[in-house]
Amino acid sequence: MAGKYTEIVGIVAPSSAVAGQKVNIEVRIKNTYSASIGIMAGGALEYGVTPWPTIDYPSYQANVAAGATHTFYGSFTMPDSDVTIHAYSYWYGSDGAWHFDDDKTKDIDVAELVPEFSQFEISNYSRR
Amino acid sequence: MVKTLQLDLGVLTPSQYQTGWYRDPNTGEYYYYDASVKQWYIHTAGLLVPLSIASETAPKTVDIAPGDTLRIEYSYRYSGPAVTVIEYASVGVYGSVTHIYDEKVNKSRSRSLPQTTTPTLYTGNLDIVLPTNTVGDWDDIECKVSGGGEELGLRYLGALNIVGLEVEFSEFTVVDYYKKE
Repeated sequence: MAGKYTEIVGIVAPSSAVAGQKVNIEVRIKNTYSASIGIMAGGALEYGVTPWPTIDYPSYQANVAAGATHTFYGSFTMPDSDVTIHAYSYWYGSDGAWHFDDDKTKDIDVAELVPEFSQFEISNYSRR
Repeated sequence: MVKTLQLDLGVLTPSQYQTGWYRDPNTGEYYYYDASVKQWYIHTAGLLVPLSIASETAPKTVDIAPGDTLRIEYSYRYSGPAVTVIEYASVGVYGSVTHIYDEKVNKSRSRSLPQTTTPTLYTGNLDIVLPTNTVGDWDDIECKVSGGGEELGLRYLGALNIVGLEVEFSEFTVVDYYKKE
């Protein structure tokens, strides 16, 4: 369900990741207002620890034209358990404050890292 | 997709194997080779199963004598959790009928590999001293890496030519004879 002036239209993230791996995500937020507004992305990881670890967005604010969708790029380090990405959107009001508006979630399973050898070669052999 | 047979094993040198199906002339068994990852597969129950240690005709023959040192250089990629692996090389005899590799002498080393999610390249070498009782059919070499319950390696058949096993004189000639002043 969309917020008052914004709508999170998608979270792009892998369905699974290995513990310790950097996970890159995209949060796509649409401006549903009739004019350009300032939109901010936020987010946290829900997996049983408090406070919820945040998602790092190098660029977390943008002025977005009416009807346009902006993609915010974020990342986090995968913990050793399944997580739920909880993304938030905020709009910037004329009162100078950010107002919470919409949220959406996406689950990521922790993947088991299995040992794998590949491309074995005998590059040379010779008498010394 | 069904691949057509290209060439029998032993016709091409290993570095020239192309992706495709190959037939072992000794057993009649068919194998698939993926040149992009340099991996042999055997077809079992509708699946291509990677061969952990494939046998290939050696790309060259090295003359070597008992007491000499053979250096084997190798490389591989690893991805997975942190693990201690064993890198292992040996000289032995591969039975063309039995298809059993009879190892005669070996050398190994352990190495700790860190956790990685992307295949990471590792290189190394192992020196094997051929004992004095080395005989002529010890002409095959095998090199492999194992750890975490996985193993991958390669066997070169006909890689060595054991020389100097017997005292031998040849081409004896009386060059000249004359009265010395």
